[in-house]
Amino acid sequence: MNFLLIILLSSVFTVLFITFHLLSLYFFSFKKTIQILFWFVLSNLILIYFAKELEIHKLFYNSFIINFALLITYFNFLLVIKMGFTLSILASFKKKEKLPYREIVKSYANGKGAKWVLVDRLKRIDKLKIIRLDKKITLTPLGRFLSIVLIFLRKILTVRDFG
Amino acid sequence: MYPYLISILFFLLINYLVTILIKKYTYEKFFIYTMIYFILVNSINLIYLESINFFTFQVLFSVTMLFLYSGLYRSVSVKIIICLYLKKNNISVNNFYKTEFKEKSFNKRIKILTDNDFLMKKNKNFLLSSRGKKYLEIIKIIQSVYRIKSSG
Repeated sequence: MNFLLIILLSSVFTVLFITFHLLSLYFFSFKKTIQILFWFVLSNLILIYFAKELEIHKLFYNSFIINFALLITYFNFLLVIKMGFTLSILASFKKKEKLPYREIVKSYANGKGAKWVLVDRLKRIDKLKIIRLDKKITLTPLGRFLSIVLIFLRKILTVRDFG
Repeated sequence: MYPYLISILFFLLINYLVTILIKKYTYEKFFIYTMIYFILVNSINLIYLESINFFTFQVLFSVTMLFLYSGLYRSVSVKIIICLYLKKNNISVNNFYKTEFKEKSFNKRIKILTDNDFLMKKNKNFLLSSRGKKYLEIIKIIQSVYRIKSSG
């Protein structure tokens, strides 16, 4: 019974959270992905209020962990549809059904080109001080530390190749 | 505390064994493995332990593992950072684009799309297959719902 109540609480959270996010997209100028954190907090506050009213607030803590997992999933889903590399290659075929290889490279990301994605990612990790981006790309000490952590994690999960 | 630790260690150990047994261990296979593991562990939990805390822990753990693996396997930024670390030398953006990015990332993704029947190659042109067209329609709908004009 408790399992079902937790799933019910998390389902209510999902409906509230996605509705709030979509409403914010249409009625306010909330466009940054990170802003969904605000809706995550608000939806959980509403949920905790009703959980207290119905005297099932002890189950809310379990539901919150599931809600957090849902937040990670939703955040990744948004990142994929916004920044997905493979997905953008498919999206290059929106205007033309037939494309030669050169045209795919050129028309990637609405005509920005394949090199743009590399420069964009480099700028992003440069902002985070992971690399120094001048004419050449250099790893900072933080970047070196991060790469060791990433290699270690890849070893633990036995990720042998890049997809 | 012990069931939590044991479940994590078991997950990693079985994953390691699966990578040895299966030749090309892709993200899709890891996803299937995680799902099977999640269902099996929670079936045992529901029958014997009946612990809600363990169930919620497993949900968070599985989701974290899936996205961590996805990032380590597919992320362009992760690939750049690891490549730079392994090269040990500074590299120009143009050089990196030609030697690492275009060949090993961009072309590889096109190959994956072709191998998975999303794209077809006819002469020198790439065409969307019926599967690719379906996916593109879904992508268009989702992007219009979320008001995304261009991706990349």
